[in-house]
Amino acid sequence: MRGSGGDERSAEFEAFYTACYAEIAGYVRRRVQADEADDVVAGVFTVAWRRFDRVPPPPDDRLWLFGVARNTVADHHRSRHRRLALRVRLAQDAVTAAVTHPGSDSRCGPVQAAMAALRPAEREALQLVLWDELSHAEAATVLGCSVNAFESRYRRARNAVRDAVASTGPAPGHGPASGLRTSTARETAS
Amino acid sequence: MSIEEQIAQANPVPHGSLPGPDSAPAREALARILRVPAPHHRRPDRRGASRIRPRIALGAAAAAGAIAIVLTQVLPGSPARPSRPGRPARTVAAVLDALAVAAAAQPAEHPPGPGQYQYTDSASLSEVDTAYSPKIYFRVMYRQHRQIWIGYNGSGRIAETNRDPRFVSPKDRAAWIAAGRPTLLVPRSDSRFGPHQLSDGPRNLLTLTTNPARLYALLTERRIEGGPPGPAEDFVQIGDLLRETDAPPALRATIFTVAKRIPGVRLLGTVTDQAGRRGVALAYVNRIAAKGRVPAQLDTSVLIFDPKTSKLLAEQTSVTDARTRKTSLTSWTVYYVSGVVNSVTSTAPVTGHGRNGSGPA
Repeated sequence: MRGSGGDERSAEFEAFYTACYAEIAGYVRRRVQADEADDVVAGVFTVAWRRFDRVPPPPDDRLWLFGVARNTVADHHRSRHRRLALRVRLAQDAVTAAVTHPGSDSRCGPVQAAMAALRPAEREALQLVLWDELSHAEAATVLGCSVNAFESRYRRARNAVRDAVASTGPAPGHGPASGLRTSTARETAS
Repeated sequence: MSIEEQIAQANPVPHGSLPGPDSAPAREALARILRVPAPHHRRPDRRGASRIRPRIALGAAAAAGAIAIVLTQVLPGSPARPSRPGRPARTVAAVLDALAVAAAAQPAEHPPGPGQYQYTDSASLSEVDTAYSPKIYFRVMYRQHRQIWIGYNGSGRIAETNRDPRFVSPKDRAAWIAAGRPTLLVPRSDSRFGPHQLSDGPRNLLTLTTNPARLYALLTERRIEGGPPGPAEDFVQIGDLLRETDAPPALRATIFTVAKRIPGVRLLGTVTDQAGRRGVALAYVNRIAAKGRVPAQLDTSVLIFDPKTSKLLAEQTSVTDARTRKTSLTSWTVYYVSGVVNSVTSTAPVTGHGRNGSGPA
């Protein structure tokens, strides 16, 4: 079916795949069970392959792919949820609740619990910036909202986590970092 | 350690632990994908594009020996003050209808073209978390002034100043004294960004429908922004759609009409915002059940509009302890100016109303 044009297309897609694989694999692995992650990642890139003619040129292609990954992960969770329902194992929490990874740092328990209690859209705002290392502007693009709207959402989420963690007390090993901001005392603050 | 560093540390899959594109699973997946028949379409030219993506938000506060300082939008001040309590009560629907009429009567504002920028001038309360030493940690609030220019091609500029520091609590002040009273001054920041480095450009709302029923369906089905279901999120997304000023008048009018369909929206009446401007306030109260040591609370989101122009003047959030009924203002932002300007140094919009409201800025 593919002639020489197809070979060129394949080579171009392979370069795209190589450039974006690690970020997308990370995004997916942070949101689905480890044993299902490879299939979901493959699903993301399969969509990209089928729609390769519609993938925007760089640098927008990367964020477009994050958008595909977001939808694919959501589809995966819905599908998984339906399967669980058939087994009468309906989860009480939202299908997009944070995934617990065996290798996670146990000291992060309060933070993870606080994040799990967030609304999905707010949790995703934190994860895109602090886990996937997107800028606020990039995360806003992935979520389909403006930068100001994203920042509003990010702020709400971050403050909710901070307050929840504070209410549970400091976690072991999570004391403040050392550091010093330059001097000149100013006592006018009330 | 700031809360953002703690969240980053909770990342279940750190970047260094990920398989690369040359790993066996990755190569096998690629081989499977390429066996899938694909259309014959050509893809847009990918040559010559940059992949430079500066991070504009997350500071590298985790650097060894560096101070952990995180700017956030937050806290005190007094809540928006209701006025004229004896005035005849109006309904939410009547207020939203009036705002829709005002919105429809405004001149059209077009998204910025080449050489133009979407400019927003706002102020808010910002909180700085300062980790001074392993045992000393304090929080200070600043009044933050922020100007942002977003070009049609995603280039732009962000300028911020922080002033009027105030400690969040006496405990924070005590920690600051214990730290040796370090300066609380935060230098002004002014950053510029090249094409696509700040964003993909201002959001284009021109394609959204102005049919209220269809727009309501798009909103509640989360086909505009995504997000969880429910009226609380509906209200948040109404604010999101109205916060930017490039929505055409007909669409803004429709958004207000759609807001009438959201159950639970409350009318607070005429209030004065943190900039001293009077506007009409609408609120949504979300009841949060008690969880662990955190008591049940009411989270209130407030949007304040200029009744003459329908522009969003300000927004704020507050939390009320459901048991004690004590209310604390948790954040506020006021929007002074928004509109399209002709350069990355201009602060005078060439379209629309420019300055929001008639009060001090």
